[in-house]
Amino acid sequence: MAEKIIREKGRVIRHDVVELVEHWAIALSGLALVLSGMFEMPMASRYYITSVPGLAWSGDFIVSLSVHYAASIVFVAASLFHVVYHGMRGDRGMIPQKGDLRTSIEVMKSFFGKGKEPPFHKYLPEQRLAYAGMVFIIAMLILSGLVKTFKNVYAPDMAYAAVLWATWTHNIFFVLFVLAFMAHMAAIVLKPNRPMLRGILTGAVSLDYAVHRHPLWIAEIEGAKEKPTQAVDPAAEAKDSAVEEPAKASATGAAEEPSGEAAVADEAASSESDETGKDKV
Amino acid sequence: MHCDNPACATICPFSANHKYANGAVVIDQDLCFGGAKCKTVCPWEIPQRQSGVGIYLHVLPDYMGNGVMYKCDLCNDRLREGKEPGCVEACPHKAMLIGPRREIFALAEERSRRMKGHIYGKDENGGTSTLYVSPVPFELVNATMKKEPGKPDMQLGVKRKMAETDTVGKAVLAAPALGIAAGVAGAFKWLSDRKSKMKESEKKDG
Repeated sequence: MAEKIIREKGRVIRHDVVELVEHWAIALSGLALVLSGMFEMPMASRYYITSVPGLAWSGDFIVSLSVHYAASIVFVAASLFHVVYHGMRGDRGMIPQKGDLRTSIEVMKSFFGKGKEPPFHKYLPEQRLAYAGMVFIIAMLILSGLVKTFKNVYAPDMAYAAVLWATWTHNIFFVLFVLAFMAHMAAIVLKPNRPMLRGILTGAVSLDYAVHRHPLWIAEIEGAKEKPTQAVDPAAEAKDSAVEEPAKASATGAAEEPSGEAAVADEAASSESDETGKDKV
Repeated sequence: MHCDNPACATICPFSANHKYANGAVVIDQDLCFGGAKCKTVCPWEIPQRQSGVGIYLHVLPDYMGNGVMYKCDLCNDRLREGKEPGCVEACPHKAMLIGPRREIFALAEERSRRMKGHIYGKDENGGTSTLYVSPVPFELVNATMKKEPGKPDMQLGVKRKMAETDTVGKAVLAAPALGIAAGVAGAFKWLSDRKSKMKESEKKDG
């Protein structure tokens, strides 16, 4: 794992270059697919989209199909790379765990001021659930899209039942994909999640944020080292008292966890909050 | 024309238009929204719209759809019952024939040879299942025709426009293999990097 704490800069490396490339390849090609896919409906001319500068091609079904195909090469290859690469490396951080549904409801309540967040691993429980949902949606889109492409190129007289399945699966999962994308955008707009935006843009999040919100993850990284470093650099001190709240919650929350891993986190989190507390004083 | 690879069918966003194994390209009138993509991609603009009818009236009639597209369905229902299409049966001069593809193609070649004539539909739009045989060159036949809605012409050598997308389409079908190969290669590189790092640290410790 490329995950690393850089104390002098107050950062934690959350994603390596490969992950960033995967994410943005899928995201950007996915958006191109949504757009060109919509232009596969006879709507661009009807709704004057063709008159928008740069979108004159949107009314030509052959051109929009070429764009759709080209974008899907990136989308399909990146998606399968993701599954194979991380599958072989044994990365399991985004696989949903037992109790994720219950915890994610608690987390969502906490966004609206009800209750406190539990301490997090690298990913939030709803991120793991959303990931599983997105994997399913993308898998269905790719599968049905490949059937449709094969029909277009080689087998226009394929069994009608197969064609209808592929078409309607593609159309329905297109709608689900757009809804999932909007939920993804809504999640990053929520204030507590915003620090993660930096993670997916630069690969790193602030150490301060990670320590307070993802103590279990920080503990994992520190546990992976032979000689765990003790205290946090003063540069990483809490700048916003608002983020201190979850840290206390995480400390208590982690204490309730029976696993050894969580116990390490408890230590890390409480030493963190002690540190920052002293500095404040 | 019941083309070999009919863009009108493959490009339909709802698969309301389909080419069956018997060669007939048929629009399902209960599924068609009348968006007319099929007409746009057909070099003869054979599918034509009847506005104001069909399923679109029951969905969002003001915003999507516009009727139902109609084209010759080769009397597919009659074919299923073992009957000939209505036009073939009704023609008093037996000017039209229907049969297995190979036989009909052979017959067309033979007739064309005998009359020193010409064939239309063999290569047009990437090949079709409807062949016309005429002693008059089709350039001349076409010159007498004026393309209008519902009245196709017979321009020679019209291209299958969707063929432009075939190469990229084939690349799409290869994309899964590309992704898997890259994933395996990437993971192996990561594994070997990790191994050599571990060896290095063992050396340091040793």
